[in-house]
Amino acid sequence: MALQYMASPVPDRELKKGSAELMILSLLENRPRHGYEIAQLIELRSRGAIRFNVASLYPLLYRLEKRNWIRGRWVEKPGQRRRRYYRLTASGKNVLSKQRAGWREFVEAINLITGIQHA
Amino acid sequence: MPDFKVEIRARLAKVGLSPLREAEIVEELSQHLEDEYERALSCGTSEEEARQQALQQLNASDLLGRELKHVEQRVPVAVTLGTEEKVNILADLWQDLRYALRTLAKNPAFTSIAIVAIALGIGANTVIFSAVNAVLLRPLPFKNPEQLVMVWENAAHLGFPKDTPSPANFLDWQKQAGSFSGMAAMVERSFNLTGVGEPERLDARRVSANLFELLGVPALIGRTFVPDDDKPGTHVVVLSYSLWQRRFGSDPSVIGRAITLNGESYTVIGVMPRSVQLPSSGTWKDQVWVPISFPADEAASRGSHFLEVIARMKPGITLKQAQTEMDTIAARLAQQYPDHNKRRGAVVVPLHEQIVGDIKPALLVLLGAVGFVLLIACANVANLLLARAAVRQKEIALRLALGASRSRLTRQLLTESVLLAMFGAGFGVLLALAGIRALKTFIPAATSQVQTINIGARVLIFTVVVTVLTGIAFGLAPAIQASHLDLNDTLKEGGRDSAGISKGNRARSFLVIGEVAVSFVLLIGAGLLINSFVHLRNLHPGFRADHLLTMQVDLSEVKYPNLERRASFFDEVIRRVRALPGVQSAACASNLPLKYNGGSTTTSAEGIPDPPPDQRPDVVFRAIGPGYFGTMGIPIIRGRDFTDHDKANSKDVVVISEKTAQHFWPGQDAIGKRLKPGLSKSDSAWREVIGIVKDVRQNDLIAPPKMQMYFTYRQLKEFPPNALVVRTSIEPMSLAGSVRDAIWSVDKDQTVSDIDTMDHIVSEAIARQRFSMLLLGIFAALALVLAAMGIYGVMSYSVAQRTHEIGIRMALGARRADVLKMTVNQGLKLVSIGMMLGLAAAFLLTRVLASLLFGISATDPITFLGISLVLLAVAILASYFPALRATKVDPIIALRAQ
Repeated sequence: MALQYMASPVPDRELKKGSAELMILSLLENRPRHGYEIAQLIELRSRGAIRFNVASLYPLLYRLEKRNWIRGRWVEKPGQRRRRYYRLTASGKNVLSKQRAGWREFVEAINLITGIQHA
Repeated sequence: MPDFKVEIRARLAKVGLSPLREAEIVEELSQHLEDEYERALSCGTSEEEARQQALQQLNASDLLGRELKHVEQRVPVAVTLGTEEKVNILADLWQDLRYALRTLAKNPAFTSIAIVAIALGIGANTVIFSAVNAVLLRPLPFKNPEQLVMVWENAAHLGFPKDTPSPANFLDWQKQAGSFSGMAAMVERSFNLTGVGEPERLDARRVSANLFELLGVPALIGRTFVPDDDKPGTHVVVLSYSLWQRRFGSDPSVIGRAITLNGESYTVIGVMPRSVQLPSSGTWKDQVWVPISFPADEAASRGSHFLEVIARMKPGITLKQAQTEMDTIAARLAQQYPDHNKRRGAVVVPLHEQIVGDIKPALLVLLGAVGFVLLIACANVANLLLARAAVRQKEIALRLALGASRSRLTRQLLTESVLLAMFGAGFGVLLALAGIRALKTFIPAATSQVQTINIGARVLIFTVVVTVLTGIAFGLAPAIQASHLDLNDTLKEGGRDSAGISKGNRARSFLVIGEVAVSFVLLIGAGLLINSFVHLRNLHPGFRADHLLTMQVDLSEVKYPNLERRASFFDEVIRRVRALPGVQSAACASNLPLKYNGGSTTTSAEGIPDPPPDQRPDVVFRAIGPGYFGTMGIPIIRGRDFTDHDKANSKDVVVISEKTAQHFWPGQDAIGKRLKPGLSKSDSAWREVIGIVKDVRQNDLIAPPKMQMYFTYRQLKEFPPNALVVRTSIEPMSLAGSVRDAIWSVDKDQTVSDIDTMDHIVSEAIARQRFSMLLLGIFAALALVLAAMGIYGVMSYSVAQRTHEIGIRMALGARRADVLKMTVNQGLKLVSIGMMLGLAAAFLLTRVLASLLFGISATDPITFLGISLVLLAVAILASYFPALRATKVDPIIALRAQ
């Protein structure tokens, strides 16, 4: 069964927010993407375990944009309607590498405690 | 495809986003939902199910709104005071401003060129208006200043249309004139202040006791004069604010103290406020005021003219009424005292006009000139905007097609241009701050109120109004043109030859023609002033001004009461100064040329009967010491200079100027003939002419020299020398210190002031002309550059548009030279039309310059021709470069581009 991300049972609200930010920043690391693509990729790569809907994804994107971690821009491509593409900014890159390190430590700590091993 | 926008909008309603932001979010989110809807369809769901599935993305009805509220900035809607319409206008304005900012930021090259052009125009206007405001508009610091006038004697038949009144005439006016509530006399006089620190020479004035009451200015501390103060023998003094500050440390206890002026004790009774500055000729700045009293013989004198008279008209009396009454009184006095007053009238001049009169025409001309510069800058920016409007036609047409109203679109475009003007004005005000500093050094020092020139509230209001008008001026044409686009034409592909563009080209051509015409007028004005200034510079003052050091050495009447004491002081000073290395010669005189006005007197020659009163010759006289002519470089044509042997007890002698010799003894040798100051029956002694010298421009560099005569000061005890002039072989100012030390080595309490070079004095004499010439020159150059930019822009744009046509021509065999000629000709056609209009305008407008010109007429053909050539050359250059680009068009590429 697919897990509605915002309704997921992870208890810590900050943890949720932080993980969502990390996911979006990671997806924009290599190339700019539009909102629908981001949502699709998250769903695909989590094999349907995590899903964003419009009401939660876009406010988050706008927040990241406001913090100047990502920047959105309308782009027109031949034969397509224009779309807003988001790309990672320099300060976004910084944040991403810090958040990644933090998560790695956090997950390792959880693993140590719970005895869960990587597959 | 279902429309999700309504659903999304409903959820955004409470967030309070700006319309633009809301539209963006709605577009982005609805795309997402549409993508979702299509995916669901592709998985085989029914349309209704797919729609429901997509809408689920919006989740609980208020989540989106709630989340966005945290993130998005809301538009302030607190201004909803009035109707809904007002809210819309404000929201529109906000939207327009942001849109304008983005558009301007997108075209940094266009935006910066436009801002520079506007900044130059508005900066220049702000500078000149700040001067006009301070000098012409600010009321004088007196009570009801519009009632204040100066009254002069009118002796136009002697070359003095505003002559200084004589005491007896003044006293009669005071008694007889009913139009005035008060009349006061004053006369400049210098005092040596001693006993407090270094001795100092002070500019001062003897004034009627009622002067300050008449002006309506009370003392800052203490009191002003009371009627009894102008009785002979009263020694009271009122200090100026600056002297009180500088020499007495703003000490209020100075009231009642005694100070020493010219060796006599005066009691300080008051200090005037800082603003009080009485009208003066030149750079005279009163430091102290003492009461004027007329001893009986002076009170009866009608022959010596030295007073200045200020009066206050009674409330309700007009200038004309006052003038009529003074005419009557002057006519009566002329009848009563024909010997002195025949043909002497009286003239009433508003005080403000008296003070600003000299600089007023120059400032008004400059105000007009900067207005022209701003017009040209506006035309340039309008040109840029028109070119850009052509590029933006598609965008504008699309917005019209999508339902934007034309007025809404015009408003948008105007917002853009006004915003542009405001940026320009911002930089312009910064430029103006620097400009005002420069202006203060340019403007003739004698102009009153110079130091009060600044950017105050009135100047800022002026700048803001000009800015908004400017923005509308250069934005209106492009905006109207853009909003009247023919949609069909524009939206069609390849609409290159559409009516809109050719209309735009016509508008741009008109603008260039206008620019050329206006800058032609400015250039002609500047050319006339420069030409006239060259005439002035080439005027020979009658002496050699180079390598001359001058200074004022006023002897105290108490310490040097008689001729012998004065003579021995100056003899000793000159002996020591001459011994200094670098000094060639030195001499003393009562008045130096162009510096202080000296006296003039009726003169009679032996054997020639006195002419009737109104035809008596008026001769300027100077008291000088031996060696004066040699030191000044005034050529002696015949006869000799004074020597040490010409003394009080030897034969009375005189040296006269060429013009004087011509007048009295035309065609004869004047040497050995005799003349005397005053009428032939007067009791002064006959003086033998021992020398004839070249005419010197004594009082005024510009007016032709008057008749002159020189006495040796040793035979004229009433006029002690008080100036020293030194001819040097090295830079004169470098000797200032040692000459002053030489004077102090003779008398350590002697004041030495106004140390200056003669070169500087001569150049100050034409400061007003230099001021107008320099500024108008700068503005005309600015106009020329802006006009060249305009021509260049139009030609470049036209060449770019005609690339295809030029390609065809060249493919059909036109040579590069033909293309060059064709393109330059196109530019020249515009310029010639502009110059023709400019020529006509210049003929009419340069007349206002007439009062500022010297030696040439306002329609001087050489100036007109020269300036035409300059403008033509610049125009050819400005169209040559774009034309050169046209010749580089590769026919194949140009044709393929279509």
